[in-house]
Amino acid sequence: MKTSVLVTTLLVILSFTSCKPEFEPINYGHDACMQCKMTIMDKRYAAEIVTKKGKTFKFDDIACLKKYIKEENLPETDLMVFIADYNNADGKFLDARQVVYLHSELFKSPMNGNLAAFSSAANLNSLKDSLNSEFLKWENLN
Amino acid sequence: MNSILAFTFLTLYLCLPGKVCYASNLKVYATANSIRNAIAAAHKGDTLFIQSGVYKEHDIVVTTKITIIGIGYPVIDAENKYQGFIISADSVTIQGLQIQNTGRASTTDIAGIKIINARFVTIRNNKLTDNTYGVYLQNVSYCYVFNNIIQSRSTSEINNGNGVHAWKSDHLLVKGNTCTGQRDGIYFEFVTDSHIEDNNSYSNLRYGLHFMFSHDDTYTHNIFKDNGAGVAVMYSHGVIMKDNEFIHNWGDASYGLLLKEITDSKIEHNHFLKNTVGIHMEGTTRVDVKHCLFEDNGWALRVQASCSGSNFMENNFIGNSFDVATNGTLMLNFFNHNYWDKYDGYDLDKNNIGDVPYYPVSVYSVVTEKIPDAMILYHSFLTDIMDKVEKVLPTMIPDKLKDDNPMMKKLKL
Repeated sequence: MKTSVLVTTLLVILSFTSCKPEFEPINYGHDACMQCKMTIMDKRYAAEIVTKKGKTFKFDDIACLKKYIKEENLPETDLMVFIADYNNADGKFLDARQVVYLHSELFKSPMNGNLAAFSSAANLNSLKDSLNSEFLKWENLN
Repeated sequence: MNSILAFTFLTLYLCLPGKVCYASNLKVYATANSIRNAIAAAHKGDTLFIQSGVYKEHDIVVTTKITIIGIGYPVIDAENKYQGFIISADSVTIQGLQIQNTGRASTTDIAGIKIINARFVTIRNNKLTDNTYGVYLQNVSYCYVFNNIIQSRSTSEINNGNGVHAWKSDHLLVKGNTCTGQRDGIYFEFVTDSHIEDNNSYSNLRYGLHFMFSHDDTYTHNIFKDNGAGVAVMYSHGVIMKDNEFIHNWGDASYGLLLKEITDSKIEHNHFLKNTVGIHMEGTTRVDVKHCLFEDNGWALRVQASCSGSNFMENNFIGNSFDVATNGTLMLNFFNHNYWDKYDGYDLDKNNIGDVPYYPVSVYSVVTEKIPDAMILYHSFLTDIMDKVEKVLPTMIPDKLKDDNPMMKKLKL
């Protein structure tokens, strides 16, 4: 009896401690970018990696995120990558592989990635033309 | 003969009607759109004296070379919606104004005074209060930002801008300004050949000074105090930092000075007092740290293994919890002739230099670098034993990281 109680308690504790990989909200003004060490301030360009084991890495710019993956040799296919929605920076983060990006120096993003992410290409044509940019996908970012 | 001819031409030229154009002085009083109208009517070289009062004007565009002088700090109020001055002419001077309450927008950068594509502009003795950005310089050269008081009471970090913000500019002089309550006190991005002197940047939400991709700049005699994350100098070469004070930049992601990918730079005669980390270095090459004082910091220096070719010479390390921390065993930087208050060696030949080397990385800083949470055991009985054992039988600390000539007495800096 006693052992079974112990075992169940242990199992319960273990089930709590095992991490489920999920997005962790960014604490703006406090969390630092993993790559460039700057405090993350600008909600429009923030990004995050979640590894298979549930570890999270936060970034202030998609350029930092890309660089970090490269430098640390992270297995890209095992990662979940999230990016802030430029038009709804307070809202939910988007899947970085599903969104479309626009590139322009005018964005002046924190680390000069100068890429803004949008949930879909709809209603973006006028902005795209004014920025003289093309629609980019995750695969085309360098 | 030639001189007489020249004189005649000169006289003729000067006497030609319409060519004679004297600069005039105009007084401007607080009525609707009075500044805007006065600027529209002004000629090149005119001086406008703005009399004291409250001017509810905004987006005041200056496109001719004029001087604007405030008498008794007239208030230009942008009513929390608009921008203040926008200058796009060379040689404009703005002096003695109080510009306040610009709007806040997330897509465009709204500033109290914005200078775009101009040269030789002087911004002097102004008070910039509660603006998103204080002075904003974009693509300018030879501009002078002097003795301004830039402050913001905003507590929101996200929509707040920088005190002095410079982007793609060169040959700037930013001197004697006070910046507080902004996001970054002074922000330089793609700015070259510039000087930052005698500024006081304190209690800013993020950095006192933030410096990116800005080469061959010098900053001297500035005070950076109580900023959210200290000072960050990144991705630049040829940076000279002298006689600055980095005081009480305290917090878990706070640094007195954060150096990231800095090349061929000099850090001399600076004081680092009561910071979480005095200097944090990552990916630096040939950075000399000389004649600096590190006192009462959590970590005086954090030198990541990615740094190389740096010299740490003749500095004083006093009362720091950890003198040096590093995350690797390889050390390509050199420590020499520093004073370490934790040094307990001896000096038998009485030449004021310790006879045995000093190893500034304590075993516990190696441990906490790998497991930050282990800090909770700092100064416990167990860690003291580890320290003592490590001193006798060094196994964990990087043995290449040492000062072969530690000074016995504090250096006079």
